[in-house]
Amino acid sequence: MSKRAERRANNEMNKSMLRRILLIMCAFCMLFTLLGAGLFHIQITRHEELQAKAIDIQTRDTTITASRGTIYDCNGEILAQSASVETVFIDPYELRSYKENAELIASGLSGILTVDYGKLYEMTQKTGSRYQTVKRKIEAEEAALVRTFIKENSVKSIHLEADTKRYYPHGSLAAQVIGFVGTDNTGLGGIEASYDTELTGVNGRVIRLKNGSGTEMLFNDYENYFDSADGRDITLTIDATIQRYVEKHLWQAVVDLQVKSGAACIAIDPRNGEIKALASYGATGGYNLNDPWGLPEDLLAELALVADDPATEVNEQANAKSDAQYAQWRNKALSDTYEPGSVFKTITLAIALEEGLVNESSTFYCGGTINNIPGRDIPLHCHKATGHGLQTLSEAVQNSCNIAFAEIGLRIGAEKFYKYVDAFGFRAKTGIDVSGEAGSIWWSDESFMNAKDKSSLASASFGQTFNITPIQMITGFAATINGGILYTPHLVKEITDNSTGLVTPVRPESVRQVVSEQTSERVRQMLENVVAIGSGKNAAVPGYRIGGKTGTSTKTSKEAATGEKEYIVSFCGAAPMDDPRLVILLLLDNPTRQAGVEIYGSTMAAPVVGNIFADVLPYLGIAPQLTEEQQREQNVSVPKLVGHTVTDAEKALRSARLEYTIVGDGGTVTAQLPAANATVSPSTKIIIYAGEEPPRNQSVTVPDLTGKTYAKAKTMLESSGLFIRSTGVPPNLTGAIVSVQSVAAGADAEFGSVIEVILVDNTVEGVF
Amino acid sequence: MSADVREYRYAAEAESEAEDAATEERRRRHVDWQFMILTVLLLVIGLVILFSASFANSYFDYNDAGYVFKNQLTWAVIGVIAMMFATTVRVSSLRRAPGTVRGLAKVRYLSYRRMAAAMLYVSIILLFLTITPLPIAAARNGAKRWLNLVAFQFQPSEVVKIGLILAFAKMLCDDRRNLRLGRVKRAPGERIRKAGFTRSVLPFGIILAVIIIILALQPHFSAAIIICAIAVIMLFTGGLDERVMAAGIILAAVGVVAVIVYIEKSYAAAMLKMEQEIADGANRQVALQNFRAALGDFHFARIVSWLHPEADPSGGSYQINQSLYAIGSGGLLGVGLGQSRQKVSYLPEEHNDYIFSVYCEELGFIGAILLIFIFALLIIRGFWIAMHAKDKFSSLVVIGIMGMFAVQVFFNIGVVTNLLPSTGISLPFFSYGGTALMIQLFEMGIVLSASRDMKLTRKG
Repeated sequence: MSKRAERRANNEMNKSMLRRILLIMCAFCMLFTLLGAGLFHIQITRHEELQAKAIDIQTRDTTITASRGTIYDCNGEILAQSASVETVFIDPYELRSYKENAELIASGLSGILTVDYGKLYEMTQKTGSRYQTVKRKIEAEEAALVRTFIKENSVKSIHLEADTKRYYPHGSLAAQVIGFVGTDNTGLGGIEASYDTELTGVNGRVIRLKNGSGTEMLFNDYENYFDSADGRDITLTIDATIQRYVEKHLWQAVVDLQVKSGAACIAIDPRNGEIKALASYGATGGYNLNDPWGLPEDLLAELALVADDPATEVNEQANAKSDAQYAQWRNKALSDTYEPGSVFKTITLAIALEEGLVNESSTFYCGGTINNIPGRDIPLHCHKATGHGLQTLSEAVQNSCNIAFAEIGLRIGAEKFYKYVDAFGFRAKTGIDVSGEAGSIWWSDESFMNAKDKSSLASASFGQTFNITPIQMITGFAATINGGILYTPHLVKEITDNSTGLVTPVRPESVRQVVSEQTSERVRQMLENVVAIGSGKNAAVPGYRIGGKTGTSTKTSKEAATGEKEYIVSFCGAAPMDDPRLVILLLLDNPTRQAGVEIYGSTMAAPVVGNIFADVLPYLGIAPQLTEEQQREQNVSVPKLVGHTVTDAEKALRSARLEYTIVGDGGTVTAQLPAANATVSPSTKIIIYAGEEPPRNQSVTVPDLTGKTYAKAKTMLESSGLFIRSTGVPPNLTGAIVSVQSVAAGADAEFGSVIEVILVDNTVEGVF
Repeated sequence: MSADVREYRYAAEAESEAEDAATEERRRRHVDWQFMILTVLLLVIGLVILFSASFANSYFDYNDAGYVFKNQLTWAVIGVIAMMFATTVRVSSLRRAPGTVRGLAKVRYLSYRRMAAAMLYVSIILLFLTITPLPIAAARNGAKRWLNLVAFQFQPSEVVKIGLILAFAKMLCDDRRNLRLGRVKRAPGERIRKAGFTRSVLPFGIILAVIIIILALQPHFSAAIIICAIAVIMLFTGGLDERVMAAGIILAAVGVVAVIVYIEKSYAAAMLKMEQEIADGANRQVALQNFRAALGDFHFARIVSWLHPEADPSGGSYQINQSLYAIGSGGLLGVGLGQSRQKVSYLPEEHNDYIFSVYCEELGFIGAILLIFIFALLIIRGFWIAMHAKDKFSSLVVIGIMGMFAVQVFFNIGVVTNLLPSTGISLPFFSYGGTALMIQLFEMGIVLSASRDMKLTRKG
């Protein structure tokens, strides 16, 4: 073979080469089959597992906050409502990724939202974070400004997030009942906390696809909604109008009577246990639900003086501040216990009547002191040192005689007494549907039922040395006058589910019949007498049948600790007594005013309850049934006289039971004092100006009327060029003196203005 | 080149010319249509999937959904022109192929065989340029793989592959470089030509070593793998002794097992240490950092994440996990063309190395199997062309190109399905990369050119 042929042969493919090509081809076919098998494993066998993991990382879960339910009063007035607001946050990670200008963002946002620039700049530098809250709960206008800023500067790292904010249209009204919410919209007190689950609803979710950098995707419509269920609306039994009256008068009393340790007032419908009003003030007063952490300015100034003790790590100032906040949130009517004092005699009375141990013809002798109580070392004194003498049962109630009630208590006996105490629910919580209810403090069964020591039973009979909450007191009291049925007090009338329209009414829960209808009837009669002719006179409202019981108790534990005598004065009243529709318990903790009336439930608490009834009963549609005499004593509205002839004016004033003097000698009235429609006491001397002008813009100093009789007060005012209007007991009642005046003594009032005074029968002795 | 080689070349060319003249009429004048159609089919599918995979991120990054796609499309057009041009140059002939454009008459004597040495030298020089500090060299992410040419960048490693294929094919046709060990059995009357080590194995080794060293300096691990794979396939086809082959395979297998065992041991130790640290109350993040540091270098960590994809899902095995999520989400039928969610989510390199994951997510198992089948058909057809090639050189060139192609497909799909550790090999016709696509099409053009000269007996 030639050399050329040999080389040529090497350029030809031989069988070995073809075989090897086939071998490689087969190898690749096998490898590709392996790939197919691998794909089968991943795509078919592991499909579900991997898909779940993929969806997990691909989606962004956004919460749709369920709208929090609205709280209404019983007439549909809104007490608490949520509105959509927005929260602004920065994503510092995005800020870095997009290389955005941190200074620009910080200065822009600080300008719009009034947030400190330095703080914002610091947030922008936290590039490890993806969420830095700039400002929470901003309103629509501010949010619009932020949006404009984002658009104008095409910023990608500022985000707005939907949020809700709670609004309380009435500010501080029924603050302790309604409660408030925290920044996370969870209830922190009152109904907001107790019904948080109902109000919150169920948050929804939107699952959207996101891309690797966390932004939501543009091209995919993969979206999954989980509907949110809005919170349910809650309608309270509270009547905002009654609440307003109650708060007005209670706060007035706190101010006027210099009440130092707070006050509470509960108004309840005895027919079903619905609470129509519940007001509570701490030592520093109420608070605004829209700013629950805010404190009164004078208190803040005081707190600023609290020095931190350098020796300890304790932040005294912050502690004092949070103590003050807790104090203002505290619901005194539920959370604090007190010795109910003589108000509790109503219960003792009902027990004794029910058991047939006393009747209307029973008589009791009070000599001022008794010594024969087994187990009691010291004599028991009645508050009237000279004693009440011989009294019928009704008189004993009117006098609030401790000795008579100690005797009644001993007749009942400890076992029976405790049986009824339990039946009235005084040893258990009432079960009111809001959190914060405290328990009561009683003796143990063994010590109370000790046959040899009846001192506890004796003092319990007139409401002393045990502690109950105001809500327990009024609940038990209501049971004595409503026909004997104990109802669970409640604040929620109905719950409305807006999505289904389903309304769940809260049915009044009658716990048990404690006393009979007949006993209740007799108790009502005696309580009505207390107000009509007894120690409760100051609570009377002309034309209404009001019954009630006064109470004054020394804070025994406080006295033991400090030696200072502090009092809780209270009054529990009901009206109208033929068919009670409202029971009000009002208590003032530690009133300190020394001038004017004495510190008793009858002189301090009863007039306030009377004033509340005077406002609320007409609101409830109950018309007063006035006697002729009462009608004459009614305050009158000054008719419009200007422009009329003097003769006509004289005629009008006479028919309105008003007196007058005429200044000037014109034939037509050119001016009058007080102005038309002002309410004044009957027989007020109106000044008619005929041709002359009254002095303009002249102020006069209001004299101190406290403790003066009506006649004296009237004269004092008239001599200063002021007019009088009186409320409370009738002006002609013996012993009636001015307790409170509407413009403080020493303050200026315009010449010719009307000063209102509250007349109180100061002869009514309080009771221990 | 030695005088020896030159002499041989002239002789071979004269011989080939003579043969050409003799057999001109028997040759097919058109390209192999089946191969052509499969190529174009893959190109079209590749472009469609590229668009699907890239539009979201193109829009996000460039505000133009078609940014990546248009780039690739432009290069595809250029590549098709390059492919058509490549078919006009004969693989192993002095004569130009019939039907050549008139203006290219000057290249009538041009053939890939004649260009082989020049291609190799030029491509190696280009490859070397990438690691020089010249301004033409462009580094990306610390890897110096690119060269700047006025308007675009390209990887000389792509060109080196062609250079290597042509050079090896030519060298394997030289009987003095017999790759058989020992004496070659002599046929009666045949002269024994004993190939010396310096003449046979050494030249291949030197060329390979130079390329691998430069690639290691770039560094470009994936290109080195492909170059090695090409070399092995070509040497095996070209007649490397079975015993050498077997020894190599055994050696490689032992090496792989040793590496895996070593890595498994280090991994287990590092894992134990991390768990211990966490149990001792150390910060999880710090412990994880220590774990990663212990596993150390790049390639080592890749193998760990291949063996244990669940170990460090936010670190080393992040990419492979994302890829598996995409492929797995596809299921049997896929989520639908254009509907991939992983591509806009966390899947990295969604239009590059991991484009097949997007394809699997969108078209499911059925689509994936279909695509692998099409790839296989193309490869089989390529090998069929190699088996019917005019001569040994053409056959070896086609084997080299199709082998390279098959290796790339296998490695890419193998990596994204976690059958193989991560290498960074792109999927031909699918992955984004204009110049690479153009060169792939040019290579297909060479195969098509070879198909024009196939020895086929016409029937009928």
